[in-house]
Amino acid sequence: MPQTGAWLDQGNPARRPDDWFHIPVGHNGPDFVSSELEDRVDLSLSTRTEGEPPNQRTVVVVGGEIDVYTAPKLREQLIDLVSSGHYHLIVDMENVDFLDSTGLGVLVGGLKRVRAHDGSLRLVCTEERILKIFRITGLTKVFPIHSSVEEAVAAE
Amino acid sequence: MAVVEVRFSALPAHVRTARLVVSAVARRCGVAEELLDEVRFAVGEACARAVDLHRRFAPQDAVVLELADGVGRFGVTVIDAAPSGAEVTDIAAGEIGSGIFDPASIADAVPRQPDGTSSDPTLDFLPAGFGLAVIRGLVDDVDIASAGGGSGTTVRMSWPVASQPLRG
Repeated sequence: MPQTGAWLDQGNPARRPDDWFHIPVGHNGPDFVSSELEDRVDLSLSTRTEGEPPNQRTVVVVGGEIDVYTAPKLREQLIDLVSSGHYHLIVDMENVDFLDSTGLGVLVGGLKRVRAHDGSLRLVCTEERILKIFRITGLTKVFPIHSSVEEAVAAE
Repeated sequence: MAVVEVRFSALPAHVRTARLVVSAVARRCGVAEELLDEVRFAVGEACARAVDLHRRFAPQDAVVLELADGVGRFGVTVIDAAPSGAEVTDIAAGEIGSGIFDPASIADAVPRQPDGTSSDPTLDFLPAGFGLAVIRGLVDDVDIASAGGGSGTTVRMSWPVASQPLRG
């Protein structure tokens, strides 16, 4: 996995115009850029921050399919964020097309990790097919689910 | 009755392939568009469960996915070869709807290493039988049974076929 810096140092002309969106927020921040470049067909991940400290929130934008194959990448991302001191997470699932119980397990794992730091993990989701999975499993009682990132940022 | 059978090695990447095949065959069999997501989610869950069990207990064996359009129904069967009892199903079907488990038991759990660096994999797993419970919650017609001979579970699901299947 190339490091963020190395990737930028190549002087890649295709450097994203919205690069500022993907700048790691801590000294030991996760490698947001490379994780997004990997397997973009199956799962895309990008991270940005919203708000100012101490009310800063870290938004993880997930797209594609969260399944038994791709869930480990999301887990890695969440672990990296918590390890680098980001305890208030918002997972934006608006572009998630598929979610299985492996993915649910990773989200629950993320919740447990941030809870250990008195943090929070909020979800943004309006897709009925995804919401149905949360309802069936009772996880609607575990995760605060919002209809927009703005709403999630404003919460609590 | 037309049949499609897929056998695949227990690799997580193949579960996505299985979902693609199921969606294509279901559509072709005339399953209504509004049911296709349910088919995809339920079969994806069943295949993910089978792959997970095979990786732990029967890595050499292939997972079997059978698709058939029978009398007015589109049937899907997912067969694993994991030893009986490998997965302790501790979630009763009756708990579906009111939530599979006690949410507090998940929400209140605290990682063993509170510095957040823990990669403790148990944090990321839900109770055994969770996948089957999701399937039961999604699908009206579902039958989960031992495959017999002391190993394997057969998950049978079916959906109505709304339109005439495509011919030719």
